[in-house]
Amino acid sequence: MKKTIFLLTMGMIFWSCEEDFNPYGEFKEKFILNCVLRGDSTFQLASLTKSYNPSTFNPNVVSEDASIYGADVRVRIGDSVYIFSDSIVNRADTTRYKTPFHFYFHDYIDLPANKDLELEVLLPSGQRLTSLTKTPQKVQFDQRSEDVISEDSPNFLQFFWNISFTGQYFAPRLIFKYSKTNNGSTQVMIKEVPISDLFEGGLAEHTISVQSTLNVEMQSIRKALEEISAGDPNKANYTIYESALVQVLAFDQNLSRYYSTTNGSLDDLTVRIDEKDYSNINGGYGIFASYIKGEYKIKFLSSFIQSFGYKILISN
Amino acid sequence: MIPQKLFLFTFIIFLPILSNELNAQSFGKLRGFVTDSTNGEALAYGNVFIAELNNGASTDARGYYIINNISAGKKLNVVFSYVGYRTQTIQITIVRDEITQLNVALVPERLELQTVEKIGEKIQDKNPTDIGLQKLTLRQLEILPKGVETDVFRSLKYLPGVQATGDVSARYYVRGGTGDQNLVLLNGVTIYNPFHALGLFSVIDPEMINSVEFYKGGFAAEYGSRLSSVLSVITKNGNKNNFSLKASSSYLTGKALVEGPIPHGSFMFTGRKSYSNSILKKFLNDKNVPIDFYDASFKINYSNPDFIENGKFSLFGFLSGDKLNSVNPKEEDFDWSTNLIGFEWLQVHKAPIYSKVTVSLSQFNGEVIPNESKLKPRKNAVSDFSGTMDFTYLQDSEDEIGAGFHFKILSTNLKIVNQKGIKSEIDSYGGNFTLYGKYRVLRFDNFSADAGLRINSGLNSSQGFYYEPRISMNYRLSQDIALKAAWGIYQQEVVAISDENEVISLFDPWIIIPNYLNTSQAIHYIAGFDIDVLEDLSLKVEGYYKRTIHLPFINEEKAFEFEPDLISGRAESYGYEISINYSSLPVIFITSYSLGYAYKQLGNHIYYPKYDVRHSLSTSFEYNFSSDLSASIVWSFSSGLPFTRLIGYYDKYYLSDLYGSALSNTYYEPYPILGDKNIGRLPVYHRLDFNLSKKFEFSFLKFYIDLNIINVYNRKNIFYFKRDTGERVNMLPFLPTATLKIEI
Repeated sequence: MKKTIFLLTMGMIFWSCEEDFNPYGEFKEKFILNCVLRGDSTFQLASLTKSYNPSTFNPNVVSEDASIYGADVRVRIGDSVYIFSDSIVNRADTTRYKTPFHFYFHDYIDLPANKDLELEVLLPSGQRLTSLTKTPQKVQFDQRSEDVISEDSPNFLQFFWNISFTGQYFAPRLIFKYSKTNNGSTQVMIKEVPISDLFEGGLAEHTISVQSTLNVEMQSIRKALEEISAGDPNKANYTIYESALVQVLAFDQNLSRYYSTTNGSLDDLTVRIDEKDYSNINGGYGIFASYIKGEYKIKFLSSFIQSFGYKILISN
Repeated sequence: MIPQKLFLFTFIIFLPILSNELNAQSFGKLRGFVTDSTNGEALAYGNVFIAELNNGASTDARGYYIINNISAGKKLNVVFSYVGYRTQTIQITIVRDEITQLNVALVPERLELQTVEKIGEKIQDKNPTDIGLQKLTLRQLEILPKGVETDVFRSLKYLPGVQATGDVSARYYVRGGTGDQNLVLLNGVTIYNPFHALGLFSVIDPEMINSVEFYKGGFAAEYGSRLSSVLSVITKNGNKNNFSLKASSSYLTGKALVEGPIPHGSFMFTGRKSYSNSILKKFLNDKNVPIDFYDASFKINYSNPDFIENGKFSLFGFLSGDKLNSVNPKEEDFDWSTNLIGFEWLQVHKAPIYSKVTVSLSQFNGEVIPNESKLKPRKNAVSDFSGTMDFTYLQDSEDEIGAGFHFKILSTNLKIVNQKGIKSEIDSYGGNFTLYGKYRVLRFDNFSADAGLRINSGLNSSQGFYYEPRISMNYRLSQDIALKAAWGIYQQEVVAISDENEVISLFDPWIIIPNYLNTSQAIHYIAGFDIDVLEDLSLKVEGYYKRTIHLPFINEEKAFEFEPDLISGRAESYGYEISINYSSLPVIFITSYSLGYAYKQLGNHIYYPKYDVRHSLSTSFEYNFSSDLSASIVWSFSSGLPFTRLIGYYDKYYLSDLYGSALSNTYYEPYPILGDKNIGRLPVYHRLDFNLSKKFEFSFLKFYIDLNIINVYNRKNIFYFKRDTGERVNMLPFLPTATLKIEI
């Protein structure tokens, strides 16, 4: 009797009951359209996919490409209508999808500032996805911005520009062009100056923020100039172009909102079960938005460049 | 004597009506304190009964009682009883027009629990206006199975109407209210963050507890500033007779209590410190969490009749700190602290007036230190300087008048750098004063009522005064059946910004509700009845309806700095609770069931909040083999918690390499598509827990051993589902734990 009770008790302890749980509701196919028009290029791209329902609970195991082929994708800017073609390209990362990346493109849309844009997609199934956005105003730099880089420059170089609306996001950077002559051949390259203290593996990380200013440490500029010839004793083989460029990508309202809602990160311990999504695609998910590019020239002073042993190419 | 006069003067200012009550009396009164003879601790909720008059009273949380209208000149037997103590009968003769003071020290019952008399228990329940109130003693808390060690918040979850979103966290939700709508008071002082270790345990070390009162709603006018519930913890005073040391150890903490007498008083000091994190892995899905926490409390009491007769002064304090220091510099650190200090003056006046004055400072600081992680720094500081003056006057008619004046100077500071690098600092500062008055009708044998009004000047002066009328009634149909009802309006001006999508949250900062929102307001409607089915068997039923307006929600649509952090919504909840209590030592059997509905509304969107539990059932069975050995089992069941169903995934586009080519800027990751919020239900939850408590003595040492098994049959109750990996995370598994306590 005692033995039976003991065994029953032990059995109870080590018997674990688990109720099956299915987190899925009824699967409803959704369409996802992503089209971010760029002001720094005339080549524009859109992707069109559909939602999927993994057979296991892990979405990363789904390897079947969900792209939708054969859709009619068009963008209207004022009286002009741009019809996209579709194409494929091999993926750089094939760990999940083995098939090429399918996309829609238009190779010449010159994006104007402060213009209404309209997107309309007609799916092969007859369903329609639409969206509206408006390009931001032209980026104009303020007179307070630095215009020369020299030995006497302050520790921080500051650049200022206008905003189109409160909460607008920008992705600024400072670059300069240089050439390297080696065995008679000359190679022209671009070097980006790290603009914040966010370094990942020694590379500059673009800072996207609502700040309409850019602060660049002189120390970062010196470091960038040193890096281009690191380990090479022949400094005279290097020529720095006189004009460096401050470039700013200015997001429109929809892209600002989209970036804002997709860029959060949590600590490792907080457990959040539901995430809020943002989309401006009528009839589906995704984003239709734009950004434009503004540029500002700043000149290297000859003596500053020569102090590194480099030559300087003065532009006319 | 000057301070007593000051009290009387103030009281008379408040309530001139009293002057009529101080006229000649035809009867006498009896009052005093009931304490434990071994240590002088107050015995809360004990019974005082005069058999000849079939009249009596129960002691309050501080062991104080008063009985009115006692015939003078007769010899009367006053019976003092308390479960676990030897009943004591004292013969007295009440003097006409005088208040007789009778303090009694009861002796703990050591041998036969069955001999504990229950005289007077009916009197305790005669006509209380206590709907929604649950009174708990440390003994009741200790007998319940524990997760790792006794925890008052975890024990609350066994009560009907108290919900949780899982057994991992100690956070609780009362009758469809949010977590920050629960007021936690330690000796009357607000604790803003009453949790240790990500909310897994409460900061209140049970060793310091003397008694606990928990109002699930309908609380009277002396309580304010929260919408849902009040948990009032009264700490021990310390042993007035002997020095004593208790030390105990569990899998999680080591702790000690030192207490003893001082001239004209006593002191008590407790300290608790975590020393092992291994048990926490069971709570956090096997994740190693380097949490280090401590808490400490003290109380010093002074009562010298040569200084002030029938007055008692207490100085008390509480410190609590949590640190989560990551070894990896790429990971963030966390730092929380809660500190309070208070001074209390209790005075029993010559007239039948009982008064209490407190001055306190309560602070909370929480900080997220990002180190080299991608998190942004966050910091929250709360400072609450408060003072209260409360008076209770018992009239000849047995009716009671209560009045009080409270003030609060509160500052909250929240510094956040959001993920986009925008710094924002929300600084709020406010002061308010509150006046309340209430009248308790206790003169009738079969009817009682508590009607009060609370007037609050408001922390945010732009919103004017708040008026919070409240009423609670009790009508006894017969000796064994009582009908009860309560109604009241409640305001809350300080809220915690909790993300309701987080099931484990590290940072819930407190702020004063900003100017652009109205102060939250709730209305409670409660009705129910108590039936004493048999002498040892009682049935209690309560139904409630609670409506909340101006409830702050986190603005999930916020994308830009200029958009508000909080937006206003509504909430509604209703349901009923049934409790059956059989108490005939050595057996105590309690079962309770609750049916509840909770809704939240934001704009036109109505949904079930994450703590909306439709059905819950809790059954406990306790058997006391002797005063030294007892066992209990508790089975808990609840229907599934709401969750948002997945209706698929899609590849979400993330901005990357903006300056690269169009084709290099194509970074996608699976992202869940969610159905209607919280429309799904998780599987039902059930769990069986077991506790065995043994006490024995060896020489001058007393040993207390507690053995617990949580989730005896290892039910895999789902906690949440990781949407990115598909992993199912369960709540507490089969978990045996033990605690050893040694007392000198």
